[in-house]
Parts: sequence; structure tokens; C-alpha cells
Amino acid sequence: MTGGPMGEIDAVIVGAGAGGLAAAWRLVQGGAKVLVLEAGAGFDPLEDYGLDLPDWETHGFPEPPGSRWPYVAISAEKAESGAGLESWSKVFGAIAPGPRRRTFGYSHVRGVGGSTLHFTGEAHRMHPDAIQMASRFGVAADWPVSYAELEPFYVAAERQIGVAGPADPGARWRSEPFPLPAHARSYASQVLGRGAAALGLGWQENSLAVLSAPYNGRPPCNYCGNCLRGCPLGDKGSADVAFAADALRRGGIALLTRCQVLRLETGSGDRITGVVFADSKGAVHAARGRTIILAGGAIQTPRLLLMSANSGSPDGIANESGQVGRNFMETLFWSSVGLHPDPIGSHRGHPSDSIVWDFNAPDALDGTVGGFRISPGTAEAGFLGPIAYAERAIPGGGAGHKQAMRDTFGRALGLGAIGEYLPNAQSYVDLDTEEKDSLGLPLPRIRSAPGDADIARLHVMATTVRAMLEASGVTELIEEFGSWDSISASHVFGTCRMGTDPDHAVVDGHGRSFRWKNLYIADASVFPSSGGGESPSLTIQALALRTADRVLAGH
Amino acid sequence: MRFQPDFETIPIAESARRVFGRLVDALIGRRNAMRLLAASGLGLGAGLAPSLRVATASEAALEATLKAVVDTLVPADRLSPSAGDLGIHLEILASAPVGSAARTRLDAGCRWLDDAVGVPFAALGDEERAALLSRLDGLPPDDKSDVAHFFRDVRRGTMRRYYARPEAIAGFASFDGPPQPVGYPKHDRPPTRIE
Repeated sequence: MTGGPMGEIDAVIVGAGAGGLAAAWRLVQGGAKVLVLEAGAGFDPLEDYGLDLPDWETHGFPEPPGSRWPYVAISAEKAESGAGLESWSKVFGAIAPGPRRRTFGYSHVRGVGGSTLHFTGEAHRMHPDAIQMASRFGVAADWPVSYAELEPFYVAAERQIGVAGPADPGARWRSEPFPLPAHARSYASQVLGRGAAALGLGWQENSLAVLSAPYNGRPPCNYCGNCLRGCPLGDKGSADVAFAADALRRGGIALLTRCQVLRLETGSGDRITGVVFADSKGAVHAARGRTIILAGGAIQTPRLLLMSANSGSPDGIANESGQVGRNFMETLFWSSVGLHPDPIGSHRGHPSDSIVWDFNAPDALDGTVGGFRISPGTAEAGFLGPIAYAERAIPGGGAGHKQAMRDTFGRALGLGAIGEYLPNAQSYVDLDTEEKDSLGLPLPRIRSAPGDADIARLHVMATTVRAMLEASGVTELIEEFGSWDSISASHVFGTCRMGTDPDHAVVDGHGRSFRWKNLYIADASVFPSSGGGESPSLTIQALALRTADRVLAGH
Repeated sequence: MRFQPDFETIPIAESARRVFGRLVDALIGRRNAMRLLAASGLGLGAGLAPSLRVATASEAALEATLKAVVDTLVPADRLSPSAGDLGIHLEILASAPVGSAARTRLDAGCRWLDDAVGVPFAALGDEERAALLSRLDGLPPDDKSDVAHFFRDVRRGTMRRYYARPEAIAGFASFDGPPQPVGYPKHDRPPTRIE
């Protein structure tokens, strides 16, 4: 496939997630002809998400066949210093007993929109200091792009999405206000705000890719609280809604679903000539483009590069530094859920409408480099409907249980923290030597083990979350869940690190391979550091827009 | 089918206590424990009973026992029907086709309940049923015995099905059904109870 109705293809993009679709949108805006290859299918929000059905609570985000990537996860031994960090449940007891971390998986979606389809919509800019971790704090690596260089691209992404946020930018200076005002806080978040105030913490409105008012023909949020199950209204700015729809309207783009790229093809002059992909029926095709942009995320992008090894690149494409797959960073998290003595209707409202940024800066904690943030965690913990209460909050049965359901429903109050995860030699992605996918390709193998600094940070996260819940009036904890004994990663980073030194990085500050001049990466695999709990999608998109501009400029 | 695999090396009375935990100890008492053991084929001093098998309960008996179980877990009250009134036991049975591992576990669990005190579970009074199930509920969360699995499966299946029904949620505060298409426009205000 070199053209057909589209003519010559300017860019082949592998993956229709946050980065791939943002890059495609920008390229189409600039007049480029773009082919996007997506291994998964598209979702129909009104048909597929089912939030209006009686059994809505028994389903998470839909998982039709092919909507998740297969992978292998190797669980590491638990760190020794984890006393007090055990995951547990009032009803089920220990959640992750035994000497090794329990793997709950790499939470993602394979489909048009990628993992933004099941995100809550947090739209965060990186803390300016969190992208200079090596030069400022001697850990991880510096980003080869400054906050000032990224800022215009943050603005462009926020405008396209319709991000709603507060007037006060805090540490993240802005050249213009958010496109939309912040959302009203839910009643439960107001209760949490009292706890934050009692501890002297700021409790700011969160910046969200969720409309607080009608915007570009899309309706505002109606606060159903179920962003994680998919948004049927279209107020959540997942990448399909915010970028793909507009790009497809403009034309100049072909988006092929159920097409899995098998390998990259190399040519002379250190150029990638195209990709080989299999369609839904297993037929194999080739697609050629002037530029190739990989946007499969921090697991699939290194997998594809490693699978594309050939005689000229025996260690994989773009792996001249040996860093492809290295520096994997998972989501360092802590979550506590308790019961509030008063009815607060905590199933209502946006799941993450507020945030504590006080500990987000890399130097915010004494004795530990790297920050974290705190935000509501009731929805993330799944306490949005009666079934969760019946199963996880109220043991037993009988008339007492039934009345307790009525008395307790809406009183679960969760709070979660996400923190910096520093890259280490034990955390990486490679190819499994035995396990294959349905096409006979090796599965990616994920190894991840938080280091001592991460565990120390996790202790502070857990202590702070518990204190804030208590200060909010919670009298009884019913469930806790954290990274010491469990891997449950939704934000993953680092496996194709960007940098300035070809010996220590995979791509440069524009996401371009140091060797392969027409090969770019536009996903979270390029992050040299994870940030102090910032959700990554907006930064992925800002970087992708910057990469697209570089491609359009003809470099 | 039997509920516990490790009878081989321990005296039967002790093994029975391990198998059924406090259930035997407190609820049933010595006399009923004898009947239980007799019904299960584990006579005192018999040691391991390798031929122990729990016969498949008849469909009608199984249905009756399971309905009594789900009704005990979720009884009717002035606001909402019982789980059995909504046919939850039939849904659970339908989800476990004859011959499946799930059906085998249901059969065995219900038979165990029917045999526990020598009177079919459905014929017991409300308090006796509740006491029997509460003992199963009191088994440790990591108990891997079949009877523990049976109870957890049935409880989970009952709650997931019952609380997915519109009839179940009368009396809940600020919740009267699926979150869409209306959402919670008043999410920033205190909840109100819906009767």
C-alpha cells in the first residue's frame, strides 16, 4: 500500500491512542496525508458502554475479543520495608499474600482512542521541575525539552480537547487560561476538602479533559461518575472524540482498525521504508510512508522495535543505545477506602474532580526524591453502585445486611495517591522467549520492581492518604490497595527514553530516532521520568503535536 | 465430590471440625454433628472415606434449597422483594449448566446444607438458616474448601444479580437506577433518600 485513493502517504502512524491520534490530527491540519493503523477496533459509545442498562455495574469498560494486548508479567519479590503497605479488604482479607507482588495487570485498551477511552480525563501538565530529574536531583534522566518549549503544545491540546481547569495554575505557569472553567466539586469532594483543610493541604479543582460547558458541539458532563467504564455522552475528551473525529472530518486520513503491525521495514540511508501489517483476516500487507510514527505505548512500541530486528539492526530497530525496553516505569499508587458516618452520596460526580498538589514537586518530601499527588479514589476503587457495597463493604446477608445496604450506600469514601516511579535496572520490557500471540509473534514481557526510594515514597503516600481520610471524618477503613504488593499499572513510561545523547536515549527531544531519520515515537515510552503523579495523556499529546510539527516542517 | 481433601491422617472428629469449623462446634452441637457425620458418610472412627460421593440433588430439591439460600441472604421487607421473589436462584442455576463444574459445586453445596442438621435447608426456620449460612460466611477468606467456595460463589452471584434489579434499590439515597442517561446533576449537594 503506497497510496491508492490517498496518493502518496506522508505519515504512517502505528497506534490510535492519545499520541497517535493527536499526531494524526495535527498532520492532517497541516495538509499531510496520514494512514493510521490500529490493532484494535473502534467503540460505539452509545452502544458499547451500557451505562443506562440495569446490569451496568457488573461490567467494566467493555472487553470484546482483541481489545486488550496479551503480555507476560513477571512479578518481583516484595521489598522488605513494606510493613503497613499491605493491600487488604474487610471482606476478602489479604489481597496479595505471599512473597511476590501480585499482578493485577497492565490496564489499557486496544482500540481507537486507546487507554483514554477508560481514563477519568485528568489533563495534567508536568511539573516543570519533574522533567529535570537528573540535573536537579541526580536521578532518572532529564527531558530534552523544557516546560517553556512544551507550553504552546499544551495550550493547543487543551483547546482541542476543551480542558476544564482552575484559574490558579500553581507551579504550572500558563500562557492563557484553561478553555473552560473548573467543574463544581461533588459533595463527597467537598467533604474531602474539609479533611485537606484540617491538615493544611490545598484541595484544588482538578484540570480535566471533561467538558464543564458545551464545547465544539459536544455536551457537558452530567456527573454520572463512570468515566472508567467509558463516556457515552462525548463530554470526556478521549482521543477518539477530541482528535480522531475532527481529523476524519477534515479528510486526508485513513484509519484502519484491526490491523496489527508486525514489523518495520528498513531501507538505505538509515530510513524506515514502511511497515508490514496483518489485517483482521490475517492477510499481510505493506504500507509505505515518508515518515513512520510509532504510538503504541510503553509496552507495544518497544516490542515492535525489538521484533523488527534484522541483520542491519540485530538488537532491534532504533536500539543502537541498548535502551529500547529499559527504564520501564509503572504506576506507583496507594488507595484507601473507608466509610463516612454521614450519607454523602459518594457515587456521584466526576471521579477525580479535585487534587492535592502540595507534594507533587520532586523535592517536596524530606529524604526522598520524587513527589506525589492525592485525589478522590472512590470511583477508582469501584464504589459507584450497590453491588460493590454488597460484595466489598457489607459482609454477610439477611435483613440486617439489606438495611445496611440502604444505610451505607453512598458513604464509601476513597482517596488515592499516585507518585514518582524512578527507573531502575530491574524494571524493563523485553520479548518473551516462549509465549507468542495469535500471529506467532513474541509477547512483551514486563518486569517491574519498585526501588527503595519508591517504597519510602509509598509510605508517605499511604500515611498522608489515611490522615486525610480520617480528617475528613472517615471512621472505618474497609479496603486498601497499593504498589508494594501489587502491580496494577495504567500509566507506564520510559521504555524508549528521549534524550540528547544517542548513547543513552532512543529518540531526541522531538521523538525522532537518532539513527533512523524518518522514524518518530509519540507515546509515553519516550518519558525519561514519570512525574510526581501527573496523569500522562495531555503530555503525550503535547509531545505528539510537537513531533507532528517537526514532521510537517520536513525534518 | 467431597468438600475437603485432607482427611487422610487426622481423626475424623478433628477433621470434621476442620472441615466445618465453628459450624459443627457451635451451631450443630454434638447430636447434630453425629447426624451430619452420618449423612456425609463419615462415621466416627471411620477415618478417610474414599468412597464418599455426594449424589446430584434432584432439580426440584436443588431449586428449593437454592431459593431458600438466596432468600436467606436477601429476604423480603417492606421496601423490596426477596432474591428468590426475583428469581435470582433460577438465574444462578441457569448460569451453571448441568454437567459443568459450577453445577457440581452447587449440587454439592446444597446437598451439604440439606444434610447439615438432618433437615432440608428449605424446611428450617429463618433463624436456623441464617445461623447456618453465617457460619459459612465466617470461614476465613482464604479458606479454599469447596463449601467455602460454594458459599462465596452463591453469595456473590446473589448480590450481583439482585442489586442489578430495579426492584432492589428502593430506599437508597440519591440512587434510583443506572447512572445514565440522567447522571447526577445535583452531585454537589447532599444526597436525598429515594423511597
